[in-house]
Amino acid sequence: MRTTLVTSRQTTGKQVSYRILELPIGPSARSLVEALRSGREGASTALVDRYAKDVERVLYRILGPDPEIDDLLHDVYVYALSSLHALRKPEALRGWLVAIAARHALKCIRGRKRSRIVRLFRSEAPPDPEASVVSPEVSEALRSTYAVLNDMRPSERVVFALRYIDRMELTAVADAVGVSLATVKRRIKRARESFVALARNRPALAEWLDAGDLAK
Amino acid sequence: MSALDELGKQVAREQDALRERRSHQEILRARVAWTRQRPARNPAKPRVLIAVGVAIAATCVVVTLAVSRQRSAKVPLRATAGSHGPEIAVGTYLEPSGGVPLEVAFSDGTRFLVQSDARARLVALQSDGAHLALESGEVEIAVTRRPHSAWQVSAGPFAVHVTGTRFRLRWDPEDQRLQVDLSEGRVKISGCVFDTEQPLGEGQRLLASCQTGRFIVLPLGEELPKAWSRRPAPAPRAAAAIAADPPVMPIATPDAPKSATLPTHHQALGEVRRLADAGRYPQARARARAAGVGLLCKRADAEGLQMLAEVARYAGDPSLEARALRALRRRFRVSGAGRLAAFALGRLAFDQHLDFAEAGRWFQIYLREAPRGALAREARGRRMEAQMRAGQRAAAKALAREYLRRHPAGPHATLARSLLH
Repeated sequence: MRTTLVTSRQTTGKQVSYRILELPIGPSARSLVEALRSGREGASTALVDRYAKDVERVLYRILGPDPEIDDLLHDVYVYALSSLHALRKPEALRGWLVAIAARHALKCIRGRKRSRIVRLFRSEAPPDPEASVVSPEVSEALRSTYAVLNDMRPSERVVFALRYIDRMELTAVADAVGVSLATVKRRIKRARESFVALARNRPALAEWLDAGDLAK
Repeated sequence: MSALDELGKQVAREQDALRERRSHQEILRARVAWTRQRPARNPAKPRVLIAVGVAIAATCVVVTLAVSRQRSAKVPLRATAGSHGPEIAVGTYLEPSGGVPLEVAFSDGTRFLVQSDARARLVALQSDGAHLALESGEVEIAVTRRPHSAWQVSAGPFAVHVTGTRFRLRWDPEDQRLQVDLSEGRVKISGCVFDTEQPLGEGQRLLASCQTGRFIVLPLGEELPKAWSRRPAPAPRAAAAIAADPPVMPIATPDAPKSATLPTHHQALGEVRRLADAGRYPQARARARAAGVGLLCKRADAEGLQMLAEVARYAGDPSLEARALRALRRRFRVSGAGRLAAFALGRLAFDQHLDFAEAGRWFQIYLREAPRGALAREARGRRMEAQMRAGQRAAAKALAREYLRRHPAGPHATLARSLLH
């Protein structure tokens, strides 16, 4: 809590003092949303400090270690800060941000797929999807996982990443992608089957998959 | 754990190691700060930005930022102590000292004068108004008239909605009495004794008492009728305006609410639910309080109590929320609602009261009663955090080990790991 002793001169010419007590933004999501909606100083920084790691983690899970993560993270925050009026339950702030991140990642993946198709029509060589995993020290498993994910349908890729890599509960995955629990279960099942089918061609992933999975 | 789960775990571990080496947060913090500090657009002259067709990524980001600002170009008003004093932020308590009133000046010309005996808090600042909560004493208000403005002064369970007026408001929390003297314009008052919003016109004074459940409207300068000063016989609280000696004004006007008997708790809960469904949580809370919180806590079913707790939470009334939740625990402990109430009490203690020992106790109760409940993971994580904040590090570490064993990728996993390392 910050206390400021302020002095000012009244119109009568007499100097008087006020005591202004300034409270920090409360720890709850509700306090933070109120502070953001009223434009309180420091509120957007608090939003970054409290939730950026979650948002960043979700983007990583879906996209892998991607050079566009910084831009996407910023896009998610810009969108969130301008859409606070749409957040009906302030307590659900974390889940809401995660859902925005999942949507932005999905949009990014779809955009890249369209670009690839355009380049193919122009007879250019398709870009190497594994090149998006830029860091040299990543393991082959990580590289191959995202190569397989790149070949999956975007909507299935997102639920697969959230369920199997981020280990999200089914209800949280459903909330993040904005579908019912039943729909997300069906989608995860299809995603799993797609992943296993594509992973058969990746020696680095063979050791991870059950013999039962590979035999199907 | 299946092979795919193992693969996912390994991938996540590697990603987290990569993330540790690179701080995206610093970059994001700088970008967000730059975005928020851009010069505010004049709402009266919106500028139109045209997005270039096939844009490079950086241009797309700039356009997105500009369009976002355009869409939400509602810059909150600024409040300062006096015309040239320091800025007053949302959440600030205003407590004049030295026996001299404190003037709060807003950037649209509106002025609040918090009298020397008063204590108030700036609750919210928007582009079209602000919300001041008067905890006790008197404040004078002069609101600049604008086509769309929304000013609110709340005092206990009362709320005064203002569009362009000059008035004086006094709130006595001990006697639960409100007085509004309106010099100019028009206001509407809701809460406590009022079934619907009570309008007040220029040159009128309103006195309302939560304790007696009565209100009176009379011209400024008129003496109070004797009937108002007389203590009423004990009776159920009712939104009844008392008859006054002539020539007192509008008690008998069409706008004045008729005398009503106290609704049953079913009726009251129905009205609370209707208001809550419409998103009018402060009014729903006021309705619940008018019906009698004790009665509702004693008579409402589990669903009614859950709704009451939710209304209280969204209306920012933690004491009402606590009462509803405790009633749930007392009367419906063995039900799902009763178990969830234990979790909610823990969250209330943690978030609102910063009472971490109490919060930890409630989360422990929830886990004991619902070890595989829907909120078990959250309860374990929050209990661990509560122990940590209460200074019980050894206990927090033990909980961290258990948490990681059960929920290695849960939302509190990072905290748990930091406790152990």
